[in-house]
Amino acid sequence: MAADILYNSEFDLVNALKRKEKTALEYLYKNYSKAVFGIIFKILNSKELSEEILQDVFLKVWNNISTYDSSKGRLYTWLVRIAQNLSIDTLRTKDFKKNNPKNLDFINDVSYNEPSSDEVNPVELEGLSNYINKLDEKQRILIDLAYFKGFSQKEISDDLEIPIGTVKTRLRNAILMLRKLTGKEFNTELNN
Amino acid sequence: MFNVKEYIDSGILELYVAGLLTEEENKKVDELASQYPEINFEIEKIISSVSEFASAGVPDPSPSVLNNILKNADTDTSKNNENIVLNVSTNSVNSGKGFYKYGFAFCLVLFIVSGLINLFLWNDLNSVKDEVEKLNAEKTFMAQDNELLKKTLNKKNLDLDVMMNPSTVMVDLKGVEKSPNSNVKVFYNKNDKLVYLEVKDLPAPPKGKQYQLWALDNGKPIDAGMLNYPENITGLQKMKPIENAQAFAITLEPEGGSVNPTLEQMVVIGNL
Repeated sequence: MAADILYNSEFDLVNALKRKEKTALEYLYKNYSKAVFGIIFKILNSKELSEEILQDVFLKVWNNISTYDSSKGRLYTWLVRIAQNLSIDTLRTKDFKKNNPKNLDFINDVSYNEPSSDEVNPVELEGLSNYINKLDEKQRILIDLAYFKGFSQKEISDDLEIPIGTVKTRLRNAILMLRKLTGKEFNTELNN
Repeated sequence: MFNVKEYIDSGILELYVAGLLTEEENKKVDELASQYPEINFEIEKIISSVSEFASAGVPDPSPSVLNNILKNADTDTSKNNENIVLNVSTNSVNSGKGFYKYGFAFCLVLFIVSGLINLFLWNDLNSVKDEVEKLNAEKTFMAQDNELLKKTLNKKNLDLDVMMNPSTVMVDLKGVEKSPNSNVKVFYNKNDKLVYLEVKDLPAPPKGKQYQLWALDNGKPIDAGMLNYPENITGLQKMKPIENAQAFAITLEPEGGSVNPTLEQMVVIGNL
């Protein structure tokens, strides 16, 4: 399969996208669509609507790839930023407000948005409960704000009532804990 | 010496992946990541664990999403991508502005065209006005002409009546020796005693002099009136009524006429 082509670095992938190679777009989708979809879904809580936004995100990346450079961070970060913006825009549209009044509190609500039970596959739910139960409540919220809701350091510091200088180290600790819980830390520990 | 471990432990890479650094800081991290593989490896670790956490407990998107994306992805590299960005972000606003811009240009063109048409029509109107003025003048002239012709025709009809009247006698006054070409016709209606005169050929009278018509009744001259010369040179001229006459003659007299004719100054004479 064309999408199985490996790109040696993100630099190569970005260049392939800039050359408008569809295999690169497919590769990007295979690597990041799940995470991006997860972030959209946590905001909109509707599979159908989230799929629409997911499509928009990748097409926007495709069309605007020429404006991307290293000052915007990693491709993943850029994708997430676009996904958050499009999702929040959707959330603010009148039609959405009318049909989904509960989601309105997303922007201000810090609490984790539990997925609706009918949409979630039980195996994943089990995996999720593993992290969530083991992850400290404060760390969970911190990851949620920084990686899924796109809060700035200042906003995080205000929301969690912690000094802005400690956001960085707290985030580091939360990610390390997450890596430990998901087993990602294993290799790193061996290397060290 | 740059301490990679310390740099990684600082937590800056977590902020980097979360997109919480400035553009300048992003560039710096990217530079270091390409320089130190450990940093790049750490970044990828963070991304993969955050990705996994993001998708945990969330259903997978339908496979049709990828198909739609690939179907809708335009591969035309000739298109300027920055233009696409502009189109995406300012689509609705721009189309409005474009409408007004083109609308304004269109109005301006209409205005200029209408101005030119007005100028053209104005010129046209002026020439038409001139034409109307000319035609009006012509009409007045023709009306005057017509009036004159009517008068002339009336006069001719009257003259004709006089001449065709069975009681009218025409007297041919012929030039005497010193003016052999002179000729005047007198129409004399014996019943009505009316005398008319038509100058056929008569030299213009010198200044201070006037022609006078005389009727001769049994050799005695009777004043028959002064000739209007040259105004009534054509058509009949009504003279004084005469009771009886056997001959008519015209003499050149001082202006206003004389009681008795100056015989030496006789120009024409004719018998009934």
